[in-house]
Amino acid sequence: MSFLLSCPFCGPRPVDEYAYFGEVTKRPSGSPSLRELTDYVYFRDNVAGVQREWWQHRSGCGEWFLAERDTRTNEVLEVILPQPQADGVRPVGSDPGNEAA
Amino acid sequence: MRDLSLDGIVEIRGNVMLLSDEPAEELVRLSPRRAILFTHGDPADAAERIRAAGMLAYDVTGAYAGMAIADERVLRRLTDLDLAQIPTAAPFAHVSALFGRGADGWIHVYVHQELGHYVAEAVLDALAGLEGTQWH
Amino acid sequence: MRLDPRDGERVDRSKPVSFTFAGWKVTGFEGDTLASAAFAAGKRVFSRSFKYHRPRGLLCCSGHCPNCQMTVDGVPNVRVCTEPIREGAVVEGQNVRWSLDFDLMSVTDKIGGPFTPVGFYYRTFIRPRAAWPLYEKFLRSAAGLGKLDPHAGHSRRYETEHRHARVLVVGGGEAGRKAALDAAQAGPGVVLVDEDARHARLTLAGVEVLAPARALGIWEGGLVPVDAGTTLYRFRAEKILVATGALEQPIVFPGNDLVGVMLPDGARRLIRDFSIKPGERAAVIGSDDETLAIADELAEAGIEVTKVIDLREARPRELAAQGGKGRVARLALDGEHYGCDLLVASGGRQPAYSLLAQAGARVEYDETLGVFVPTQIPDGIEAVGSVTGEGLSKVAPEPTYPGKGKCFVCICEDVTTKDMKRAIGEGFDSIELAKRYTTTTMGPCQGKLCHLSSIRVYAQENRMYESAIGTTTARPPWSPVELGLLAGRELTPARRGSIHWRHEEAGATILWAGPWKRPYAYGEHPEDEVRAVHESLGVIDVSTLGKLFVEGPEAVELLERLYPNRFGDMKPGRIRYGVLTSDAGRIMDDGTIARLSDDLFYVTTTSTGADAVTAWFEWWNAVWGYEVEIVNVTGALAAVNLAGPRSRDALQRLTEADVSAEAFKYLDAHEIEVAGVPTLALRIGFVGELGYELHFPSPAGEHLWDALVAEGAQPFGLEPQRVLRLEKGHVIVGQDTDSESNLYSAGMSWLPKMDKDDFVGKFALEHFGQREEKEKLVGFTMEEDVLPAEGAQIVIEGLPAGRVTSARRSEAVGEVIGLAWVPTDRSEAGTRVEIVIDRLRRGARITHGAFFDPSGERMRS
Repeated sequence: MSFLLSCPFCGPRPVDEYAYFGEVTKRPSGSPSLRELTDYVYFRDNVAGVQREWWQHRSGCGEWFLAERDTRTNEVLEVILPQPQADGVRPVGSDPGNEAA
Repeated sequence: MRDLSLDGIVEIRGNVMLLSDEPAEELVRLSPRRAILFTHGDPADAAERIRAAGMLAYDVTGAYAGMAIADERVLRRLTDLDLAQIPTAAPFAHVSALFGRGADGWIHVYVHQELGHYVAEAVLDALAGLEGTQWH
Repeated sequence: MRLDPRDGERVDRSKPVSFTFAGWKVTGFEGDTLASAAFAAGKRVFSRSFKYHRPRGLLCCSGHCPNCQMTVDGVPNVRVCTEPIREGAVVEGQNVRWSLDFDLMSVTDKIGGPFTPVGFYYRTFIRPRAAWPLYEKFLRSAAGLGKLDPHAGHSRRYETEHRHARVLVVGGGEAGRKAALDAAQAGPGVVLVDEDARHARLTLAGVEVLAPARALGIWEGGLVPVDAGTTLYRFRAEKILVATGALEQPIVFPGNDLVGVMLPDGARRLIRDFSIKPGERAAVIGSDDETLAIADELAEAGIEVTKVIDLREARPRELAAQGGKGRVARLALDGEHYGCDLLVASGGRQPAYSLLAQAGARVEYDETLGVFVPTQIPDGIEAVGSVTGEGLSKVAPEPTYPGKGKCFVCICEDVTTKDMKRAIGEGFDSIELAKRYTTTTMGPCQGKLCHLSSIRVYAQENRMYESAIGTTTARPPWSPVELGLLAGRELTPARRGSIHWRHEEAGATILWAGPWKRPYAYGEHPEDEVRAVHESLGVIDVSTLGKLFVEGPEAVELLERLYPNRFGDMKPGRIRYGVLTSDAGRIMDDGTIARLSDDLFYVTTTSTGADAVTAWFEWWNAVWGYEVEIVNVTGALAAVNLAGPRSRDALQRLTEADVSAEAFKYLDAHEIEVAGVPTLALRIGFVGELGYELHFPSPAGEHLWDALVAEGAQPFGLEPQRVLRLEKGHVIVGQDTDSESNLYSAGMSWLPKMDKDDFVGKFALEHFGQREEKEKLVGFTMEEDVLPAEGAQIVIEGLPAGRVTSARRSEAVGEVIGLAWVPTDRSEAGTRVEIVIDRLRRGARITHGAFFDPSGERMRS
């Protein structure tokens, strides 16, 4: 993997400058059932195609953003700044747990 | 290579686009809301001035070790950053770093203080390589 | 053997250079390669082949084929046909017993033929199974290339250099040079790389020329690593122009590997560059004008040309090179023999498309040219010159010619037409499978000289069209590369706090602790340091702790959603212990949270967690958008923990602030000045004694450390700290917990505030709360004075039931103590379990709570 990813602030940089936090998932609200919770925590769509995912420019400016990437070609179609939502259903990333370290 | 570690350093959050470039200061804007200020003045004064302007500012003078490097080839051996992008943040010798350019054209590299010794060794080793010295 | 001086020769005859070639002293001239000098001195055998140990001589003279791979000054697999001559070099043969000219192992060529077909060792050496290591040892020494001395250490210094180019041109032939000059018209940033050392002095206006240098591949993002000997250039190019040209292809006929069979360019280089006569009597076989033109050049060099065969017209029923001792002596053509010691043969040129294919181009068979050409070249890359097929003649020879003797498809791996036929007969009916089975194209030339031949032979045998077979996948590296060059310099980032050198001066044992270098202990006896903390005063450098400011009007809201804890009820100046959980309910990190004002919190994390916790906070806040800033000040601040019954008195002597028990209570955070240094003092008790964690600007690290040591504080390291915290039953996240641990199983069910609306991990904890945990984290004491290893097994009724996570001998408790995971139904205090130590089961009793000072009087005093 050596593709370039364009940070919204720093411009195109090698992908190894970034931390990848997986595809955007939907965090359940209220009191989810065990099934809903496991789906959210462990299951991913893992599409062969375009997906929206979380990235952080870890070795650069440090900012978080979303990217639309084609998982087959690593072509990045768009980078988007996150739009925080007040409450209710929120788009959040996967749960990297201790792997975040 | 020259040591820059004693410069005052202020980490700034908020609308950093409001900041103007002052003489005797070097401002690295990382994003519209993050910046690092390197100052020859008192960092506490600078932090106060910036807080008064409605931003958050932290005196992090001890946080970075800095060095000025004249030889571009040393940089090319330790970072894949396109030097035309300076000032910016990018990896240097496998660790995160801030890059600036001094008035004399030397490139300023700041890394987290705790990595300063390691990075200085890496730079000296790169210099030795350019001089054709066998290291091992 | 040298011809008279000629125009354009590269050798400087006034400067002789001597070296040792396979034990013989050889003298050439400056400008020679090691091979050209040896050839001029009459040397003809340069290597022994991979499997059959057949003698091999110069074939391509351009660094592509395997025939001249030798060990030069201890470095194996050097192609001496491109390696410049140097005084005193020691050049040795490889894969050879005795000598290049008389190799004992060449017996495999005589008797081995019928016994060494492809895959023979997979089938032959399978019984008895136990004997495989013996077979393997023999096979490995019998076949292969040069040897590496595993004890030799670094043979040379390798560098990596990162470069950016607007246009990178690969290949310095006519098309490449023209493309580079055109690109330079449009602006700077044009670089041309070429493998040929002759281009080292090439000057092109506005173009940087790197030669000899080999582009190893094209990766995503326009990444092209370029091998320039001991420097690896990692080019990032906006545009890549591939002008790698086309490579002369051998003709597949019996004896086509004999010493004296050469490609036209090989013979041409010997004559033109080095003024060497490549033979005395020559025959020429070709199917294009370029190849056949060599006949005139040979004649001009004084070589008798005995036969020229134009395969566009001739359709021989027999075509073979024959000779003795592995050298060509005659050409056999339809029953006639033509004497020759040089046989120049080529079927034409195949575009060197490999880099393009790696970059994603498709490769298709061109019926009119009889070769594979690149198509659908991806954006940002362009092919120029003969790599596109432009200007090439049709490859006209038959795929193979009949005759007596071994007929090689792949000379690197010694794969013959017979091997290919056998593989096809055995059912390897896809070219990718046949390649893996026969190993054709998998040798050092990476298919440069055998890929086309393999496919043509394959098509012929299977009665298929080449276009239907396609090609095998092109993978980097396109040229062989030294592993040391790919590895580059070793850079292992080490973090050292601002007080680090004081610990070195004090003679502390320094060890890796995650990414940090930290003192393990200051003397031979860590227990002395433990005793100092219990009885008097100790100080430990904890600058490695992650330190974050969380500031903003919604700081409480953010923290209450990140942690299971509550913070809104904290008064400024107070501290709370917090644990971070993931949405899976797992424990991620822990630390203290001090409220400094309504809007400002100071958060500490574990020593390895600072970066991950900062990223975690920022990520959630990118989702939620609270008006809060998170600033990682780990490096800006140093921290020490001053602990022991004397710590209050010692601190009081260094500050004007009131630190009495009444004014500075347990879990208070005060901003005070210590030894003249502005300090945030946190009264917490990780090590179980009265203590203060002092956080202050890191440049003052040594100053404050010295002041505390002058007050009589005994420095203590990580090991004593581990004993002290274990005596208190304090958990280390990542040591005593793992990715399955949650707050309930780890004995912290008091911590989460489940009446909060939401926090990360709440959903999971709700479900955990409704079930019985399978395991619990508990304490234990050993019945005897024996120390279990971390990870030791716990046995209940003869069955494995749990594991030890920490264990130490505690002087203060008077026993061996530890923490362990045990089944919930065996987690009652007093339960007897057994722990395996040195294969013996030793008794232990389960305990709950702290081992030492269980009521916490000492740290609260």
